[in-house]
Amino acid sequence: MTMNRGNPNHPVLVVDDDPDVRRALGLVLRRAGCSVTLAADGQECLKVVSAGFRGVILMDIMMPGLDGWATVQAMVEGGWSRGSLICMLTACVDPRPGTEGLEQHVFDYIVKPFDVEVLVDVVRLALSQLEP
Amino acid sequence: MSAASLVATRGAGNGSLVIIGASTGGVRALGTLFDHLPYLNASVVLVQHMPAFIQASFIRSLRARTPMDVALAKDGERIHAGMVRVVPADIHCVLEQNRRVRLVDGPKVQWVKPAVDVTMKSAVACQPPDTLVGVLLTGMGKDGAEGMVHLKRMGAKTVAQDEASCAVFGMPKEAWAAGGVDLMLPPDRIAQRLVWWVGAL
Repeated sequence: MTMNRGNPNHPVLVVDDDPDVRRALGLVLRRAGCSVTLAADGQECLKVVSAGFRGVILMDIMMPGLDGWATVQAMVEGGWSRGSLICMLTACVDPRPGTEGLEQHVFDYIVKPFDVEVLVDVVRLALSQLEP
Repeated sequence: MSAASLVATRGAGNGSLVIIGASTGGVRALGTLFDHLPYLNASVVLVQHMPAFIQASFIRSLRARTPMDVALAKDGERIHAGMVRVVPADIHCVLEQNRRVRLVDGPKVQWVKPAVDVTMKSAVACQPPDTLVGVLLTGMGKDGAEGMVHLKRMGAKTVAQDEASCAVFGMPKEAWAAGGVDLMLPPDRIAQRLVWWVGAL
């Protein structure tokens, strides 16, 4: 797990098993003024959120071990989704079976390959919704 | 034709009823839709699947985009033209005679609460059918499909968000497959269509 300084009021957690994607998203989001935390898989994500992270979470769906959906489910069950908005990162917009009921916990979808402008817009929109 | 002259030609009456359902990606889609909405000659009931902790900011963001009166729906409240009422998280909303809000607890429907289906299926044929409109935006699952079919069977107009503009095409796709959708459009054109259908004040 790595953290990068940015605006502490704009916390974003990137969860993706592809190091190139993590690096690219970290760069883009830091430039957009976000405070970025990177996690390499679902387990790392759960460590971060159970330690108190609240903010926008960009969650890759296809990850080895705990995939994105299973990670969201674990967050919901652990009560760690409260206070965060989750955006799924995916090359395929059709959710797999077994994701029923998670719609209330998934704020948006961002389709790969990313349009950087759309990505930053979605993150900013989500951050604005988290403002008290 | 201007929105005002539309009202003049189509008749303002007591206003139409527009029920909007949305889920994943809905906050983004609704932002675009409301950016293009004038003060409609309609009451709008909005069911957006979302966690309770963003309700206040969600309503605030809609208020910044529309001249209409946006607030959280309250049990027993009578709705009229110019009002946008957002159904609170974790409770269903039914409409009595299409005009009075009732917030009712109960099991999840289509895995969610509030469910778009519950609100849309509570609409009854107590007003001219062309003054009823169902709108279904982006979202996972199939909530809203049965509701859109119900509205369409009553003669209401129905429109769903098109695939290209959806974050997730699940809900509109299911409604379309069930025969509950007249038109598929992106959010800005849904707004234009609403003005055409219900008029603006």
